[in-house]
Amino acid sequence: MLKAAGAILVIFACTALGYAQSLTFQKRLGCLEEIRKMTVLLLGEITYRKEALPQAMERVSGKVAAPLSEFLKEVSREAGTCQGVRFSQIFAGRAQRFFKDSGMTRQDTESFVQLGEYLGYMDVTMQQNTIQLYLKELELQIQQAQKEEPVKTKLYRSMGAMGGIFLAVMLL
Amino acid sequence: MKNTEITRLFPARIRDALEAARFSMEQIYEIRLRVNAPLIVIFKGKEYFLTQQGGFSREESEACFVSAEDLKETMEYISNYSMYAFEDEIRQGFITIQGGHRVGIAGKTVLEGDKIKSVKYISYINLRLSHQIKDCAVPLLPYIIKDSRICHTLIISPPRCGKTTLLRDLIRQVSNGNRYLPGVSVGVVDERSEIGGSYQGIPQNDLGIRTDVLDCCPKAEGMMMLIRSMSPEVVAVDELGDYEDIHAIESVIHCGCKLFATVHGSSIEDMKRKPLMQRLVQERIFERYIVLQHKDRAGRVRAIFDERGTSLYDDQRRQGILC
Repeated sequence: MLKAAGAILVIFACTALGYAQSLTFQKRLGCLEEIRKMTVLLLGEITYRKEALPQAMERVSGKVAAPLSEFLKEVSREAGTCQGVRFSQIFAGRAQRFFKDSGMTRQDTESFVQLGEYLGYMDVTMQQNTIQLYLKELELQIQQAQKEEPVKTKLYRSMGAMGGIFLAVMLL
Repeated sequence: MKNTEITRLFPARIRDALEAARFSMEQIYEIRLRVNAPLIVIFKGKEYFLTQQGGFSREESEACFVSAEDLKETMEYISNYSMYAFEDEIRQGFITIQGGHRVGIAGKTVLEGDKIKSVKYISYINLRLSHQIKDCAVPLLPYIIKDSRICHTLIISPPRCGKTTLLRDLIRQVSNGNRYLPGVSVGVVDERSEIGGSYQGIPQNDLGIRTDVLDCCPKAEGMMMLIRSMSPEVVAVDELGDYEDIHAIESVIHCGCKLFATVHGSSIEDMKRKPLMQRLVQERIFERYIVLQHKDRAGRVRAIFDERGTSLYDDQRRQGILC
Protein backbone atom coordinates (compact mmCIF):
# COMPACT_ATOMS: atom_id res chain seq x y z
CA MET A 1 0.00 0.00 0.00
CA LEU A 2 2.76 2.38 1.06
CA LYS A 3 4.78 1.45 -2.03
CA ALA A 4 1.83 2.20 -4.29
CA ALA A 5 1.29 5.56 -2.61
CA GLY A 6 5.01 6.36 -3.03
CA ALA A 7 4.92 5.38 -6.68
CA ILE A 8 1.88 7.59 -7.29
CA LEU A 9 3.65 10.47 -5.58
CA VAL A 10 6.77 10.01 -7.73
CA ILE A 11 4.68 9.88 -10.91
CA PHE A 12 2.74 12.94 -9.84
CA ALA A 13 5.90 14.92 -8.95
CA CYS A 14 7.65 14.09 -12.23
CA THR A 15 4.55 14.95 -14.26
CA ALA A 16 4.27 18.27 -12.43
CA LEU A 17 7.95 18.93 -13.11
CA GLY A 18 7.49 18.25 -16.81
CA TYR A 19 4.37 20.43 -16.82
CA ALA A 20 6.20 23.28 -15.08
CA GLN A 21 9.05 23.02 -17.56
CA SER A 22 6.60 23.15 -20.46
CA LEU A 23 5.13 26.35 -19.02
CA THR A 24 8.43 28.18 -19.41
CA PHE A 25 7.96 27.94 -23.20
CA GLN A 26 4.58 29.63 -22.93
CA LYS A 27 6.11 32.17 -20.56
CA ARG A 28 8.90 32.87 -23.03
CA LEU A 29 6.46 33.34 -25.87
CA GLY A 30 4.34 35.68 -23.75
CA CYS A 31 7.40 37.68 -22.76
CA LEU A 32 8.65 37.99 -26.35
CA GLU A 33 5.22 39.18 -27.49
CA GLU A 34 5.15 41.73 -24.68
CA ILE A 35 8.62 42.95 -25.69
CA ARG A 36 7.36 43.36 -29.25
CA LYS A 37 4.47 45.45 -27.97
CA MET A 38 6.83 47.53 -25.82
CA THR A 39 9.24 48.09 -28.72
CA VAL A 40 6.48 49.26 -31.05
CA LEU A 41 5.16 51.66 -28.39
CA LEU A 42 8.67 52.93 -27.69
CA LEU A 43 9.21 53.50 -31.39
CA GLY A 44 6.09 55.66 -31.46
CA GLU A 45 7.22 57.68 -28.44
CA ILE A 46 10.62 58.26 -30.00
CA THR A 47 9.61 59.04 -33.57
CA TYR A 48 6.26 60.75 -33.07
CA ARG A 49 6.55 62.47 -29.70
CA LYS A 50 10.36 62.78 -29.75
CA GLU A 51 10.20 62.03 -26.05
CA ALA A 52 13.50 61.49 -24.19
CA LEU A 53 14.14 57.85 -23.26
CA PRO A 54 13.41 58.05 -19.52
CA GLN A 55 10.05 59.76 -20.15
CA ALA A 56 9.23 57.51 -23.11
CA MET A 57 9.91 54.40 -21.01
CA GLU A 58 7.84 55.73 -18.14
CA ARG A 59 4.89 56.30 -20.46
CA VAL A 60 5.21 52.86 -22.08
CA SER A 61 5.55 51.11 -18.70
CA GLY A 62 1.86 51.72 -18.04
CA LYS A 63 0.88 49.90 -21.23
CA VAL A 64 2.77 46.64 -20.88
CA ALA A 65 2.57 43.74 -18.44
CA ALA A 66 5.01 42.73 -15.70
CA PRO A 67 7.93 42.09 -15.53
CA LEU A 68 8.47 44.41 -18.50
CA SER A 69 6.53 47.26 -16.88
CA GLU A 70 8.75 47.01 -13.79
CA PHE A 71 11.84 46.84 -15.96
CA LEU A 72 10.84 50.02 -17.82
CA LYS A 73 10.00 51.89 -14.63
CA GLU A 74 13.33 50.97 -13.06
CA VAL A 75 15.38 51.92 -16.14
CA SER A 76 13.45 55.17 -16.50
CA ARG A 77 13.98 56.06 -12.83
CA GLU A 78 17.68 55.24 -12.91
CA ALA A 79 18.29 57.00 -16.23
CA GLY A 80 16.36 60.03 -14.97
CA THR A 81 18.82 60.56 -12.15
CA CYS A 82 21.84 60.43 -14.51
CA GLN A 83 24.23 59.10 -11.89
CA GLY A 84 27.19 58.84 -14.24
CA VAL A 85 26.25 55.46 -15.71
CA ARG A 86 25.88 54.86 -19.45
CA PHE A 87 22.37 54.04 -20.61
CA SER A 88 23.49 50.73 -22.09
CA GLN A 89 24.83 49.69 -18.69
CA ILE A 90 21.59 50.58 -16.91
CA PHE A 91 19.56 48.80 -19.58
CA ALA A 92 21.72 45.66 -19.56
CA GLY A 93 21.89 45.45 -15.78
CA ARG A 94 18.15 45.69 -15.34
CA ALA A 95 17.42 43.33 -18.25
CA GLN A 96 19.60 40.56 -16.77
CA ARG A 97 17.79 40.91 -13.45
CA PHE A 98 14.22 41.13 -14.68
CA PHE A 99 14.38 38.41 -17.30
CA LYS A 100 16.06 35.88 -15.03
CA ASP A 101 12.89 33.85 -14.48
CA SER A 102 10.95 34.92 -17.51
CA GLY A 103 11.66 31.85 -19.64
CA MET A 104 13.73 33.94 -22.06
CA THR A 105 16.74 32.18 -23.51
CA ARG A 106 20.24 33.61 -23.27
CA GLN A 107 20.05 34.58 -26.93
CA ASP A 108 16.73 36.41 -26.36
CA THR A 109 18.21 38.42 -23.50
CA GLU A 110 21.39 39.14 -25.43
CA SER A 111 19.59 40.59 -28.43
CA PHE A 112 17.36 42.63 -26.10
CA VAL A 113 20.43 43.97 -24.30
CA GLN A 114 21.93 44.86 -27.68
CA LEU A 115 18.92 47.05 -28.36
CA GLY A 116 19.88 49.07 -25.28
CA GLU A 117 23.33 49.67 -26.78
CA TYR A 118 21.87 51.77 -29.56
CA LEU A 119 18.86 53.37 -27.90
CA GLY A 120 19.22 57.12 -27.63
CA TYR A 121 22.23 57.13 -29.92
CA MET A 122 22.22 59.59 -32.84
CA ASP A 123 19.15 60.83 -34.65
CA VAL A 124 15.56 59.67 -35.04
CA THR A 125 16.30 57.84 -38.31
CA MET A 126 19.01 55.86 -36.57
CA GLN A 127 16.61 55.06 -33.73
CA GLN A 128 13.96 54.00 -36.20
CA ASN A 129 16.37 51.74 -38.09
CA THR A 130 17.76 50.16 -34.94
CA ILE A 131 14.32 49.46 -33.51
CA GLN A 132 13.00 48.14 -36.83
CA LEU A 133 15.97 45.81 -37.08
CA TYR A 134 15.36 44.53 -33.57
CA LEU A 135 11.66 44.08 -34.34
CA LYS A 136 12.55 41.91 -37.34
CA GLU A 137 14.84 39.80 -35.20
CA LEU A 138 12.16 39.59 -32.53
CA GLU A 139 9.60 38.52 -35.08
CA LEU A 140 11.84 35.60 -36.07
CA GLN A 141 12.30 34.64 -32.43
CA ILE A 142 8.54 34.72 -31.88
CA GLN A 143 7.87 32.64 -34.99
CA GLN A 144 10.47 30.13 -33.88
CA ALA A 145 9.02 30.02 -30.38
CA GLN A 146 5.48 29.60 -31.76
CA LYS A 147 6.65 26.70 -33.90
CA GLU A 148 8.53 25.05 -31.06
CA GLU A 149 5.99 25.67 -28.33
CA PRO A 150 3.39 22.90 -29.03
CA VAL A 151 6.06 20.30 -29.78
CA LYS A 152 8.21 21.13 -26.78
CA THR A 153 5.24 21.53 -24.44
CA LYS A 154 4.00 18.09 -25.41
CA LEU A 155 7.50 16.65 -25.17
CA TYR A 156 8.20 17.99 -21.67
CA ARG A 157 4.80 16.98 -20.38
CA SER A 158 4.99 13.44 -21.69
CA MET A 159 8.63 13.14 -20.66
CA GLY A 160 7.65 14.18 -17.14
CA ALA A 161 4.90 11.60 -16.94
CA MET A 162 6.97 8.86 -18.59
CA GLY A 163 9.95 9.64 -16.43
CA GLY A 164 7.75 9.45 -13.35
CA ILE A 165 6.40 6.05 -14.37
CA PHE A 166 9.90 4.81 -15.17
CA LEU A 167 11.23 5.98 -11.81
CA ALA A 168 8.25 4.44 -9.98
CA VAL A 169 8.82 1.09 -11.71
CA MET A 170 12.51 1.22 -10.91
CA LEU A 171 11.85 1.99 -7.26
CA LEU A 172 9.29 -0.76 -6.95
CA MET B 1 20.47 76.26 -8.12
CA LYS B 2 21.70 73.00 -6.67
CA ASN B 3 25.28 71.94 -7.43
CA THR B 4 24.09 68.41 -8.27
CA GLU B 5 21.82 69.84 -10.98
CA ILE B 6 25.00 70.71 -12.86
CA THR B 7 27.51 68.09 -11.72
CA ARG B 8 25.24 65.22 -12.75
CA LEU B 9 25.75 66.27 -16.36
CA PHE B 10 29.40 65.22 -16.34
CA PRO B 11 31.21 61.88 -16.35
CA ALA B 12 32.40 60.51 -13.01
CA ARG B 13 35.95 61.93 -13.24
CA ILE B 14 34.87 65.51 -13.95
CA ARG B 15 31.97 65.23 -11.57
CA ASP B 16 34.33 64.23 -8.76
CA ALA B 17 36.48 67.28 -9.46
CA LEU B 18 33.47 69.59 -9.53
CA GLU B 19 32.03 68.08 -6.38
CA ALA B 20 35.36 68.39 -4.58
CA ALA B 21 35.46 72.10 -5.44
CA ARG B 22 34.02 74.18 -2.65
CA PHE B 23 32.03 76.73 -4.59
CA SER B 24 28.44 77.38 -5.32
CA MET B 25 27.26 77.03 -8.91
CA GLU B 26 25.73 80.50 -8.49
CA GLN B 27 29.27 81.87 -8.87
CA ILE B 28 30.05 79.90 -12.00
CA TYR B 29 29.21 81.49 -15.34
CA GLU B 30 30.55 78.87 -17.70
CA ILE B 31 32.13 75.42 -17.78
CA ARG B 32 34.08 74.73 -20.96
CA LEU B 33 35.06 71.31 -22.20
CA ARG B 34 37.35 70.93 -25.18
CA VAL B 35 38.73 67.65 -26.43
CA ASN B 36 42.27 66.95 -25.18
CA ALA B 37 42.33 70.35 -23.50
CA PRO B 38 42.07 71.47 -19.87
CA LEU B 39 38.67 71.96 -18.31
CA ILE B 40 38.03 75.66 -17.93
CA VAL B 41 35.66 77.28 -15.47
CA ILE B 42 34.58 80.90 -15.63
CA PHE B 43 34.26 81.78 -11.96
CA LYS B 44 33.01 85.24 -10.99
CA GLY B 45 33.91 86.42 -14.49
CA LYS B 46 37.49 85.11 -14.41
CA GLU B 47 38.91 82.08 -16.19
CA TYR B 48 40.47 79.21 -14.22
CA PHE B 49 41.59 75.66 -14.90
CA LEU B 50 39.84 73.11 -12.72
CA THR B 51 42.22 70.62 -11.11
CA GLN B 52 41.36 66.96 -10.50
CA GLN B 53 41.24 67.74 -6.78
CA GLY B 54 38.60 70.39 -7.32
CA GLY B 55 40.80 73.45 -6.99
CA PHE B 56 41.19 76.43 -9.29
CA SER B 57 44.55 76.97 -10.94
CA ARG B 58 46.17 79.22 -13.50
CA GLU B 59 48.67 76.46 -14.34
CA GLU B 60 47.65 74.36 -17.34
CA SER B 61 49.79 71.45 -16.12
CA GLU B 62 47.64 71.08 -12.98
CA ALA B 63 44.38 71.06 -14.89
CA CYS B 64 41.95 68.21 -15.34
CA PHE B 65 42.09 67.27 -19.03
CA VAL B 66 39.03 66.34 -21.07
CA SER B 67 39.05 63.31 -23.35
CA ALA B 68 36.87 62.49 -26.36
CA GLU B 69 35.16 59.81 -24.26
CA ASP B 70 34.36 62.41 -21.56
CA LEU B 71 32.69 64.60 -24.16
CA LYS B 72 30.69 61.69 -25.56
CA GLU B 73 29.53 60.73 -22.10
CA THR B 74 28.69 64.33 -21.22
CA MET B 75 26.53 64.63 -24.33
CA GLU B 76 24.74 61.45 -23.31
CA TYR B 77 23.89 62.89 -19.88
CA ILE B 78 23.04 66.33 -21.20
CA SER B 79 20.60 64.89 -23.71
CA ASN B 80 19.14 62.61 -21.05
CA TYR B 81 20.40 59.61 -23.05
CA SER B 82 18.32 60.81 -25.99
CA MET B 83 20.35 62.64 -28.62
CA TYR B 84 17.55 62.12 -31.13
CA ALA B 85 15.22 64.28 -29.02
CA PHE B 86 17.55 67.26 -29.52
CA GLU B 87 18.11 66.99 -33.26
CA ASP B 88 16.77 70.48 -33.99
CA GLU B 89 18.70 72.04 -31.14
CA ILE B 90 21.94 70.31 -32.13
CA ARG B 91 21.47 71.65 -35.66
CA GLN B 92 21.33 75.16 -34.15
CA GLY B 93 24.42 74.51 -32.06
CA PHE B 94 22.99 74.51 -28.58
CA ILE B 95 20.72 72.61 -26.22
CA THR B 96 18.80 74.19 -23.38
CA ILE B 97 18.58 71.90 -20.40
CA GLN B 98 16.48 71.78 -17.25
CA GLY B 99 17.03 74.99 -15.31
CA GLY B 100 17.41 77.07 -18.47
CA HIS B 101 21.15 76.45 -18.77
CA ARG B 102 22.46 76.59 -22.31
CA VAL B 103 24.87 73.99 -23.63
CA GLY B 104 26.71 75.24 -26.69
CA ILE B 105 28.26 72.56 -28.88
CA ALA B 106 30.73 72.47 -31.74
CA GLY B 107 32.25 69.68 -33.78
CA LYS B 108 32.04 68.47 -37.35
CA THR B 109 28.93 69.66 -39.11
CA VAL B 110 26.96 67.33 -41.38
CA LEU B 111 25.54 69.15 -44.39
CA GLU B 112 22.52 68.33 -46.48
CA GLY B 113 22.76 70.50 -49.57
CA ASP B 114 23.90 73.80 -48.12
CA LYS B 115 22.05 73.42 -44.84
CA ILE B 116 23.39 72.06 -41.59
CA LYS B 117 21.75 68.71 -40.88
CA SER B 118 23.56 67.82 -37.69
CA VAL B 119 26.78 68.09 -35.73
CA LYS B 120 28.86 64.98 -35.24
CA TYR B 121 32.10 64.35 -33.36
CA ILE B 122 31.07 66.90 -30.77
CA SER B 123 34.44 68.03 -29.44
CA TYR B 124 33.59 71.28 -27.72
CA ILE B 125 30.98 71.94 -25.08
CA ASN B 126 30.28 75.22 -23.37
CA LEU B 127 27.83 75.00 -20.49
CA ARG B 128 26.51 78.47 -19.74
CA LEU B 129 24.74 78.57 -16.43
CA SER B 130 21.54 80.50 -16.18
CA HIS B 131 21.30 82.74 -13.13
CA GLN B 132 18.24 84.08 -11.53
CA ILE B 133 19.02 87.27 -9.67
CA LYS B 134 15.85 88.49 -8.10
CA ASP B 135 15.32 92.26 -7.88
CA CYS B 136 18.29 93.00 -10.15
CA ALA B 137 15.95 95.03 -12.37
CA VAL B 138 14.59 97.20 -9.53
CA PRO B 139 17.06 100.11 -10.09
CA LEU B 140 15.92 100.26 -13.73
CA LEU B 141 12.19 100.51 -13.06
CA PRO B 142 12.11 104.34 -12.73
CA TYR B 143 13.74 104.55 -16.16
CA ILE B 144 11.36 102.25 -17.99
CA ILE B 145 8.15 103.50 -16.38
CA LYS B 146 7.06 106.92 -17.53
CA ASP B 147 3.84 108.61 -16.35
CA SER B 148 2.65 105.31 -14.85
CA ARG B 149 3.02 103.42 -18.09
CA ILE B 150 5.61 100.95 -19.25
CA CYS B 151 7.91 101.95 -22.12
CA HIS B 152 8.88 99.72 -25.04
CA THR B 153 12.35 98.67 -23.90
CA LEU B 154 15.30 97.18 -25.75
CA ILE B 155 18.22 95.74 -23.78
CA ILE B 156 21.43 95.95 -25.80
CA SER B 157 24.28 93.83 -24.57
CA PRO B 158 27.29 91.85 -25.73
CA PRO B 159 27.20 88.14 -24.87
CA ARG B 160 27.76 87.21 -21.20
CA CYS B 161 26.71 90.58 -19.83
CA GLY B 162 23.50 89.45 -18.22
CA LYS B 163 20.81 90.56 -20.65
CA THR B 164 18.65 87.46 -20.17
CA THR B 165 19.01 87.66 -16.39
CA LEU B 166 17.94 91.29 -16.50
CA LEU B 167 15.04 90.60 -18.85
CA ARG B 168 13.90 87.74 -16.60
CA ASP B 169 13.72 89.98 -13.55
CA LEU B 170 12.13 92.79 -15.51
CA ILE B 171 9.36 90.37 -16.49
CA ARG B 172 8.95 89.28 -12.88
CA GLN B 173 8.82 92.86 -11.58
CA VAL B 174 6.21 93.93 -14.11
CA SER B 175 4.17 90.75 -13.67
CA ASN B 176 4.10 90.79 -9.87
CA GLY B 177 3.78 94.54 -9.62
CA ASN B 178 6.22 96.96 -8.03
CA ARG B 179 6.25 100.27 -6.20
CA TYR B 180 5.70 102.17 -9.44
CA LEU B 181 2.97 100.07 -11.07
CA PRO B 182 0.51 97.30 -10.18
CA GLY B 183 1.14 93.93 -11.85
CA VAL B 184 0.18 93.42 -15.48
CA SER B 185 -0.13 90.29 -17.61
CA VAL B 186 3.07 89.43 -19.45
CA GLY B 187 3.46 87.07 -22.41
CA VAL B 188 6.90 85.55 -22.84
CA VAL B 189 8.01 83.92 -26.07
CA ASP B 190 10.86 81.76 -24.86
CA GLU B 191 12.30 80.40 -28.08
CA ARG B 192 15.35 78.81 -26.44
CA SER B 193 13.84 78.07 -23.01
CA GLU B 194 16.39 80.40 -21.49
CA ILE B 195 14.12 82.95 -19.89
CA GLY B 196 11.84 80.59 -18.04
CA GLY B 197 14.10 77.54 -18.16
CA SER B 198 10.96 75.50 -18.68
CA TYR B 199 11.08 71.78 -18.13
CA GLN B 200 8.14 69.84 -19.53
CA GLY B 201 6.27 73.13 -19.92
CA ILE B 202 6.82 74.36 -16.35
CA PRO B 203 9.14 77.38 -15.92
CA GLN B 204 11.93 76.65 -13.46
CA ASN B 205 12.64 80.35 -13.00
CA ASP B 206 10.27 82.75 -11.30
CA LEU B 207 8.69 84.88 -14.00
CA GLY B 208 5.93 86.34 -11.88
CA ILE B 209 2.32 85.51 -11.16
CA ARG B 210 0.80 87.11 -14.25
CA THR B 211 3.15 85.60 -16.82
CA ASP B 212 2.25 83.18 -19.61
CA VAL B 213 5.15 81.41 -21.31
CA LEU B 214 5.20 80.04 -24.82
CA ASP B 215 8.12 77.68 -24.67
CA CYS B 216 10.38 76.66 -27.60
CA CYS B 217 8.31 78.71 -30.02
CA PRO B 218 9.80 80.85 -32.81
CA LYS B 219 9.60 84.48 -31.68
CA ALA B 220 7.73 85.91 -34.64
CA GLU B 221 4.96 83.30 -34.57
CA GLY B 222 4.90 83.20 -30.79
CA MET B 223 4.37 86.94 -30.36
CA MET B 224 1.31 86.85 -32.60
CA MET B 225 0.01 83.68 -30.98
CA LEU B 226 0.27 85.20 -27.52
CA ILE B 227 -1.49 88.38 -28.53
CA ARG B 228 -4.36 86.41 -30.05
CA SER B 229 -4.67 83.86 -27.27
CA MET B 230 -3.51 85.40 -23.98
CA SER B 231 -4.00 89.16 -24.52
CA PRO B 232 -0.86 90.23 -22.67
CA GLU B 233 -0.16 93.84 -21.79
CA VAL B 234 3.57 93.28 -22.13
CA VAL B 235 5.30 90.90 -24.53
CA ALA B 236 8.88 89.84 -23.78
CA VAL B 237 11.35 88.17 -26.13
CA ASP B 238 15.05 87.41 -26.00
CA GLU B 239 17.66 87.96 -28.73
CA LEU B 240 15.99 89.60 -31.69
CA GLY B 241 17.66 88.84 -34.97
CA ASP B 242 15.55 87.78 -37.94
CA TYR B 243 13.53 89.83 -40.35
CA GLU B 244 10.42 87.96 -39.12
CA ASP B 245 11.14 89.08 -35.54
CA ILE B 246 11.30 92.72 -36.57
CA HIS B 247 8.13 92.38 -38.58
CA ALA B 248 6.34 90.77 -35.63
CA ILE B 249 7.53 93.55 -33.32
CA GLU B 250 5.70 96.10 -35.44
CA SER B 251 2.53 94.06 -35.11
CA VAL B 252 2.96 93.82 -31.32
CA ILE B 253 3.40 97.55 -31.02
CA HIS B 254 0.41 98.29 -33.21
CA CYS B 255 -1.71 95.96 -31.07
CA GLY B 256 -1.13 98.25 -28.12
CA CYS B 257 1.11 95.86 -26.20
CA LYS B 258 4.34 96.97 -24.61
CA LEU B 259 7.50 95.18 -25.62
CA PHE B 260 10.59 94.07 -23.72
CA ALA B 261 13.31 92.68 -25.96
CA THR B 262 17.03 92.04 -25.98
CA VAL B 263 19.58 92.15 -28.76
CA HIS B 264 23.31 91.53 -29.12
CA GLY B 265 25.32 94.71 -29.46
CA SER B 266 27.30 97.18 -27.44
CA SER B 267 25.73 100.54 -28.25
CA ILE B 268 22.90 102.29 -30.07
CA GLU B 269 25.39 103.00 -32.85
CA ASP B 270 25.73 99.23 -33.25
CA MET B 271 21.98 99.04 -33.73
CA LYS B 272 22.07 101.75 -36.36
CA ARG B 273 24.67 99.79 -38.27
CA LYS B 274 22.52 96.63 -38.37
CA PRO B 275 20.21 96.87 -41.38
CA LEU B 276 17.32 95.17 -39.59
CA MET B 277 17.57 97.12 -36.35
CA GLN B 278 18.33 100.44 -38.03
CA ARG B 279 14.70 101.06 -38.98
CA LEU B 280 13.47 100.32 -35.46
CA VAL B 281 15.84 102.93 -34.06
CA GLN B 282 15.07 105.49 -36.74
CA GLU B 283 11.32 105.05 -36.37
CA ARG B 284 11.69 105.35 -32.61
CA ILE B 285 9.84 102.12 -31.97
CA PHE B 286 11.62 101.58 -28.67
CA GLU B 287 11.24 104.24 -26.02
CA ARG B 288 14.08 103.04 -23.84
CA TYR B 289 17.45 101.50 -24.67
CA ILE B 290 19.37 99.89 -21.84
CA VAL B 291 23.00 99.23 -22.74
CA LEU B 292 24.84 96.67 -20.63
CA GLN B 293 28.55 96.10 -20.25
CA HIS B 294 30.89 93.68 -18.53
CA LYS B 295 32.89 95.95 -16.29
CA ASP B 296 34.18 94.22 -13.14
CA ARG B 297 31.20 91.91 -13.37
CA ALA B 298 28.29 91.08 -15.64
CA GLY B 299 25.07 93.04 -15.56
CA ARG B 300 26.44 96.53 -15.24
CA VAL B 301 24.38 99.20 -16.98
CA ARG B 302 26.51 101.40 -19.18
CA ALA B 303 23.83 103.79 -20.34
CA ILE B 304 20.12 104.30 -20.74
CA PHE B 305 18.69 106.29 -23.62
CA ASP B 306 15.23 107.39 -24.61
CA GLU B 307 13.78 107.10 -28.13
CA ARG B 308 15.49 110.30 -29.25
CA GLY B 309 18.86 109.06 -28.10
CA THR B 310 18.93 111.39 -25.11
CA SER B 311 20.97 109.90 -22.31
CA LEU B 312 18.94 109.28 -19.18
CA TYR B 313 21.76 107.58 -17.39
CA ASP B 314 25.49 107.33 -18.01
CA ASP B 315 27.82 105.05 -16.10
CA GLN B 316 30.79 107.35 -16.87
CA ARG B 317 29.22 110.14 -14.93
CA ARG B 318 27.53 108.32 -12.10
CA GLN B 319 27.90 105.33 -9.84
CA GLY B 320 27.03 102.33 -11.97
CA ILE B 321 23.80 100.45 -11.64
CA LEU B 322 24.62 96.87 -10.91
CA CYS B 323 21.80 94.70 -12.10
